[in-house]
Amino acid sequence: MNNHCFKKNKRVSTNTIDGISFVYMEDTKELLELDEVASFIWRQIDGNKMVSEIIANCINCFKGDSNEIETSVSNFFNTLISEKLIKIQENKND
Amino acid sequence: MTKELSIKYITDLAKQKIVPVSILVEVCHTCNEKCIHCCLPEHDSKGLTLLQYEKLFDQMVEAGTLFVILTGGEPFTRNDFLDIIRSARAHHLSVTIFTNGTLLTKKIILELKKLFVQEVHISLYSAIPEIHDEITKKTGSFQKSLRAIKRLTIAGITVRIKCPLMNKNADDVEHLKKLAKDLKSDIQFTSVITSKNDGDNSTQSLRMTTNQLKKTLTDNKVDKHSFLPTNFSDCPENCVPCDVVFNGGSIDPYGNVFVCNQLRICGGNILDKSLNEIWKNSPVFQKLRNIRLKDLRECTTCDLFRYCARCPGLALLEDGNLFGCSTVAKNNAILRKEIGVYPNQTHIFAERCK
Repeated sequence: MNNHCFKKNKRVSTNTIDGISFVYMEDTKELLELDEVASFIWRQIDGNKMVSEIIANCINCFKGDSNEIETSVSNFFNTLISEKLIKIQENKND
Repeated sequence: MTKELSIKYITDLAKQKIVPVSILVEVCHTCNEKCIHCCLPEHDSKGLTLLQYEKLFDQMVEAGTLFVILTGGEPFTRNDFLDIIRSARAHHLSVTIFTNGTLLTKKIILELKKLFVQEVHISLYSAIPEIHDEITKKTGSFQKSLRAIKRLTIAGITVRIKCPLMNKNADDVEHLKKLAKDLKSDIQFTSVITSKNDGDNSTQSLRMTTNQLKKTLTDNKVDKHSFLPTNFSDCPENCVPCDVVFNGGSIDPYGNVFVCNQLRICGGNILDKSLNEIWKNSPVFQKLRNIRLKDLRECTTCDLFRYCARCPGLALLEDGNLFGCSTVAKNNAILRKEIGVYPNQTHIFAERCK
C-alpha cells in the first residue's frame, strides 16, 4: 500500500475549519469530524502523494515511535478504504 | 480518529470562527419562467464565466466553505451549468441546486446522480396545474416541474419542493402536502413574499390575506413554531439579529458578495479580492457582525418581540432601517400572539457563541 497514491472518493465533500477537517458523505448524509492527526493525513490525500510520503510527513511532524506512527497511518488508510472515503489513484491524469 | 456529527455542529463552529461554511451562488439571473412574485428586478445577467467559477471554488475551499447552493434565475438556462456543478464537486464542495426543474432531462439527472449532488430543490406553487402555471406565467410548466421531481426521486436524488405562499395558492396547502407525500418528497413552505431586491414593493400585493396567513401560521408544517418562547432579551449584549452574518454568504451573478441573498449589503467582489479576504475583512461585514440585540431599540421594548421572526434584510429592504421594525415581521408577530405560538427559527435572534 505504501507505494500507492490515493484520492478522495467522489461521494465525499470535505473542507477544513481551523485545522480540523470535516468529511460529508453525500449518499449517506453523514458528517464526520477528523481529529488533528487524521486531518493532517486527510489533507494530503490528493491523488499525487504516495502513502509512504504521507507517513514520512507524519513522522516529521508528530512526536512518537516511527514504527508506531507508520502502523497508525496504515490503519487509518485501511479505515478510509473500507469506509469508501478514498480509492487508489489508478492514473495520475484522472 | 473520527467523530460523527450533526450539520448544526459545523454551522455553529463556523459561526464562532467566522467561516462562510454555506454559500448561495446565483450563477445567472436569466430564467425561462416569469414568476409573478420573483424578487429579481432584472433577468439579464448571464453570470460569471466557468473559469471564474472554478477560481471561486478554489477561494471557497480556502475560506472553509463546505456547502454550496447553486441557483439563478434558473441555473439550467446556462449551457455550461453542469460544468459548473462538476467543478464544484471536483473541489469536494457539497452541492444543492435550486431550480424550477423544467429543463431537467433524463441525461442531466443521470449526471447529477453521478456527481453526488446532495439535494435538488424544485419550486412548485400548487397541486393544481392552472394555478402553478398562472404564477410562473408559463403554460405547461407544472407538468415539467412535476416530471422532474418524479425523475429525480426515481434516480435516488433527494428532492425538496419549495412553495412560497401567496393569496393565489395559500388555499392549496393541503393538496400540496398530499402531493409531496405521494411524490416521496419533502416540502417547505414560506409565508413571506418579499419585495423585489431593488425595493420595488409591487409583489407585496400578492401576499396572503390575513385569514390565509393566520391559518398558515397555525400550521406547524408550514410555519415552524413552538408553544414556548425563546427569550433572548436576557442577553441583549450577546444576542445577534440573525447569525447568517457569521457563517452564511451569498454571491450574485456579477461576483458581488453579500452576507445573505436577502441582506444585500455588498462586502466586495470576488473578481477584485478573495472570498476569504472579503468575508473576514470587509468593513461593512464587520459592522454587521457587531450589531447586537441591544442596538435594535424598537425591538427590545416591543411587546411582540418574542413572537417576531424579524429578518434584518427585509427590515432594510422594505422599511429602510437595518435597526428598525420590519413591518411584515410585525404583522406576522401580531397574528402569532393571537394564535399563541412562537417562532422557532434558531438563526433569528441567536446567541453569539454557546
